[in-house]
Amino acid sequence: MFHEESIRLAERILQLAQARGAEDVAVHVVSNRARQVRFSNSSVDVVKTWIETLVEVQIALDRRVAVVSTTSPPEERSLEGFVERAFERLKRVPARDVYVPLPEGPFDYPVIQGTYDPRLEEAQEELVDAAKEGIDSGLAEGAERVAGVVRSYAGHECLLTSGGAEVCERFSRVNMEVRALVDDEATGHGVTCSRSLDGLDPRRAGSEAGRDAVLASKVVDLPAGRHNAAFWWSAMTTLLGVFGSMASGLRALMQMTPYVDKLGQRVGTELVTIVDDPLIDGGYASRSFDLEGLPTRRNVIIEGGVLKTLLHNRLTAAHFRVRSTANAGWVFPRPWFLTMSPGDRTEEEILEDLGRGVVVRNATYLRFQNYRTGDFSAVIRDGVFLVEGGEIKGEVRGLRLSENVLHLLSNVYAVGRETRQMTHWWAEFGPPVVTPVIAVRDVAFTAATA
Amino acid sequence: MELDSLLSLVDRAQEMARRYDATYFEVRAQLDVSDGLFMRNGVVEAFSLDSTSGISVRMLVNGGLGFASTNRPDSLSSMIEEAYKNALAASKVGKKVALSRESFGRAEFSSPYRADPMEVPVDEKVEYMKSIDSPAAERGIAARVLWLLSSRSVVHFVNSEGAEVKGDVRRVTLMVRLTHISGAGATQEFTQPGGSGGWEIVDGWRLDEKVAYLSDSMKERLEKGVPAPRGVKVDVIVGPQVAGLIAHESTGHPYEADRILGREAAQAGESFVKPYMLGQRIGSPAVTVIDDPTIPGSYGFYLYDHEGVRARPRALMREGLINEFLHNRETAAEMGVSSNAAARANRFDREPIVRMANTYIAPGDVSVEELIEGVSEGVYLKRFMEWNIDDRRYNQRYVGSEAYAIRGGRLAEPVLNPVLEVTTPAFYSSVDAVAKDLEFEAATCGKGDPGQGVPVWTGGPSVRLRGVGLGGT
Repeated sequence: MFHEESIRLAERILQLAQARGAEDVAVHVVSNRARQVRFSNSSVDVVKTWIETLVEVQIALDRRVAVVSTTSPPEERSLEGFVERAFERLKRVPARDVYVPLPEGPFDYPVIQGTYDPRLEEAQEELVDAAKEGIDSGLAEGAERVAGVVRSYAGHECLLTSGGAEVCERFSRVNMEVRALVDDEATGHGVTCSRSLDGLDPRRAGSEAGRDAVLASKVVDLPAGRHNAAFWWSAMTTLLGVFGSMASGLRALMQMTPYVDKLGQRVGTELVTIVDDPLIDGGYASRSFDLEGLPTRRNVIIEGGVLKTLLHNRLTAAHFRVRSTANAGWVFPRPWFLTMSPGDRTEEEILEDLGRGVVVRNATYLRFQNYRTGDFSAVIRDGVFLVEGGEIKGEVRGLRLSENVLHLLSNVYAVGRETRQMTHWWAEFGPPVVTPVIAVRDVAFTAATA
Repeated sequence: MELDSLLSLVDRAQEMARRYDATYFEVRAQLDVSDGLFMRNGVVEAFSLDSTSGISVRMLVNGGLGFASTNRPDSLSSMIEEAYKNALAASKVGKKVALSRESFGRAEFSSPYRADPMEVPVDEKVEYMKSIDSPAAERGIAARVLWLLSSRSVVHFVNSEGAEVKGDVRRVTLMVRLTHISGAGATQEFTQPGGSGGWEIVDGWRLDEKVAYLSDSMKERLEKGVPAPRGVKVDVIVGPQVAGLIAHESTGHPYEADRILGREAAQAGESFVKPYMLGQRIGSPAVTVIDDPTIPGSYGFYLYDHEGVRARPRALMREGLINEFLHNRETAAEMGVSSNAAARANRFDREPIVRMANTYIAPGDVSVEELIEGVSEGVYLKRFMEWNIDDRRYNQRYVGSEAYAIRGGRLAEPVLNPVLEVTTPAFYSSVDAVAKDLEFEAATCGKGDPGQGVPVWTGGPSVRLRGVGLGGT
């Protein structure tokens, strides 16, 4: 059995913790073989392998909560010492004012298909080949040089809790990002990701990156100000990550989200429906359990523009007097796999509808001036195109997205019909997503004044 | 993995690595342990204890670079075989990597401490955090989030060229994030002191006074703040916190040689700085920017980097001239220079890449009051919340949190969210004076793939800019 070693390990830790009086224990074991090929200047820089096991434990003792993680699982002596150290310290932590126990089983976990491809356990050559194909595809489109990364992960994760959860699932993932450059500033970006090797499409990622880099080499002027804008898939990976992760219940308690006190209220146009859906077969971030042992479920965060729920673990749920939404990370409730419902517009129609507007291919480095109000700015890159009459006229340089979460959501006027499963190396705010392209009215862009 | 058993693996791994026909190999065992306390509004939400330990090997085979790591002692031989195979695969399709020639030997370093921060009783830490939370609570600050992190990083590094370096650094940092709400208005602040050494360093932070000050300033600006000037050219003074961030973002990062050479192009990006720009003027003679890992007690402290090279201060910008880039051995070889020991890996399973340590604008010899006296109309952008910079490190934005109008050489009313959106050359060229009030903040600098957050200090004094435009939105 693939997970026997992990379950034995989890059982040992659970017993150790319970023997010391823990009232609640959750043990999460992840065993993973990961690989990576990094390339730049159209050449491979380094090839890497990781062989690792991670153990994470949540222990509750008299309304006190500790989260313990270690990459030191196999040695009994080390494990005992680690748990003992956690207990010594935990006894001195003041009790929480709100506490509820871990969910009690039995649990019926969803079966999600298409989440494991054994070939990704040993796929070094395939990853190197993918890197070469991505590079060649970008160059074939006219890029001067191509950079990027291919990553694979394969293994299993198990969860055992004192509430009766015992669940293991295999996983595999492979993803690739390609960035093509025509000169220092004309760049394009392509992404492909999948749970299986067959789902990786290096050619498409390389070609799209190369094409956009070439398009971006023609520079046009557009002053900073408010313009209609369409956010393409990579840009949406960052933005949808923000729209979804701001629904964390702990963020609301910390006054770190513009969704505070907005449950049941309109926060976007009717076109905006955002769902955390970890149950999609073959979904890049699909999973069957949260870290408190609950079976994951589909949570509609925003439906038709109305904020329907925050995302909770058992402790934030208790603060709000609701039930957990099965989004338990160790401390922060978090979305697993954000999806935005598609609309009815083709990409060509979205360009046509823009009038004189801006297409933003990619967004990174998003920082908040005020999480509570939702004011932020982000670096936009890899194709910031002026569109007129449905055609891309060239790239606008030096613009920055300077916006507000609620303003963006409230001005979405078109949503694309094609959705893509996406990952983003810059993932400070959110998980992988399934996203369409969206178009937004009156988006604020700023630029350097000197 | 316990420390003793971890370190014992280094010799075994070294022996195994020698059996392969690699032109170079290095073995690094690393243990990173930390404990954290997460407090919200005076209540401990959770306590965390994390340990990351294991061993990695990097190999050069026919110019190909391979890396592998494991935290499982029973995978040691397969890890080394993986590194070899990876290097071989890279050599067939990759660039030919070379490493700069360096002199190596045996060395040890550590951060001196009186009270081991990992052993200080948790209740003492909680009491300290409460003493920091209280001034804000007493002033009616609605949301207070504190995260105290104590850590220890132990590294044992050897390579096939005779290096053997042992490092042992303890650190403490406390992140504070405050939200004040009044009516429909909300404003936020954060601060993060930190350093290397023992628990005793928290005494020097005087953080309770700072939190009281920040709380008062937040209340004042919600009550009395006026919109910041927009679209006008004025003189701007940036405070130490802002200046430190700018030194990090627009001097430190673009001077990282791996960015300059394109190795980070797919993610963090490249740099507007090119190798031929060494010696060129980028700022006024008033500006010197240093990156120095060797500052005792600093958050980014180390004496040898993760390639075994001895650290030294690096004058990145000297009196406005581009003076030196940050190098590891790979970039140094490519540019024909020696490494200046900027190779860092944040844990055992990350390759060492070019990183900053403690980056700061060197202080001048005037007081901040004298800077203000020299401004007839302008803005004192003392602290920030929002910032970002493009991936070439050329076009950046800093939005003030605590900020004041300056009129007739004196501070006036608070102004709300002034926006400094400026290019790197424009910023440094507009500096006419630098004060002596050098301050450091701790930060975690992110870079690389997989991402590596490394501890750094950002530092600066107050800096005066002449005639820069303030932006909007």
